Amino acid sequence: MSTAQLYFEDVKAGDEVRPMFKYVDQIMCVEWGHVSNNGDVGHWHIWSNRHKQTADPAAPVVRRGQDPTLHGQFKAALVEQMLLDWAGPGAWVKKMEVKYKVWDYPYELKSFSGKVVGRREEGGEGVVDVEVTMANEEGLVTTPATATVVLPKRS
Amino acid sequence: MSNDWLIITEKAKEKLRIGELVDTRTFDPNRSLITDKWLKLYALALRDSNPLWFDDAYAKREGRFGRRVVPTAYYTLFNPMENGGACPASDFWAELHGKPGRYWGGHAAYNKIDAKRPLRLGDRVGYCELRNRDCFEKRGKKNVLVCVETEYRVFTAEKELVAVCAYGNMSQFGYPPGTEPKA
Repeated sequence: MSTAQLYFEDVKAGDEVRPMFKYVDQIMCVEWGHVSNNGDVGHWHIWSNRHKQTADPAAPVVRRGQDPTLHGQFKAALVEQMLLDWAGPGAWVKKMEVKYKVWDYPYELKSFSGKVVGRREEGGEGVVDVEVTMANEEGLVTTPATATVVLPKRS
Repeated sequence: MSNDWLIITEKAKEKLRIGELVDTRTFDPNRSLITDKWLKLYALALRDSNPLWFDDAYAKREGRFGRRVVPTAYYTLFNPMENGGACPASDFWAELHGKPGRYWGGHAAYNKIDAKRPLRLGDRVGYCELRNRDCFEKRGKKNVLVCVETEYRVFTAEKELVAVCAYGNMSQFGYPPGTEPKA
């Protein structure tokens, strides 16, 4: 995580959003279920042995029906984390749209990447539009997202 | 069979009462109050060590709002379809299933958040207003995906509108016999 501040004047369309890599385990799913008051057992139950399956890197990845999946809301929260890590503490994510195209599973390293697609001034504030993708270990984009981030100005 | 069929019928669509206020939901008092504890637990679940969520002095010095606020995605926790037991499209799904009952769609398809301001520590979320915005279907390789978009407007206990959010709730239906796509 970086605490450096990004300013509106320093951003242009086409700029890359700094990537984020996040290893997600089942404990995080359980904790998120608690925080979000979402008791849906499919998101956190303890019977999965996927971590055992993937402990051997040579073993084929077998996804089973009873493996827990990540909450969609959790993925949205990770997207915002990535954006604020990039933009700094003076930024604010005003709008987000996060789509859940493919199931995500714990015990995987998730990759977040993105780019700036637009910048404008809105009500005297500097605003940038970004596109973000979250991909699983196979490189499959599971969660495309768009966001509007308000950045501070130098002047 | 011709190709002009739709899973979503006009009768089912009427059940959504698109644009009308269909439900208002309140939340568990323990959850609706924005506290230091829930903000920290939220950040910890993400393994997010950003001091904006933990350090008052840092948030005052460096943060946009001069104090600790909660992340924008926190609004998804006040989605009454996920966390409040609300089911504003229940009659729509029952109509599509062709039998009475209380149905939810299958799972989340997307979340949209348009925040008016961030929630601050000490704020209390009062209620959410629910309106169905739209429904649509998409033909996939094996199934037809049907989605309902429901808007939930988040208000504080003081009736201040703080966010306009939307939730896409999706369910899968089989192709009508004789219409399955060729492999």
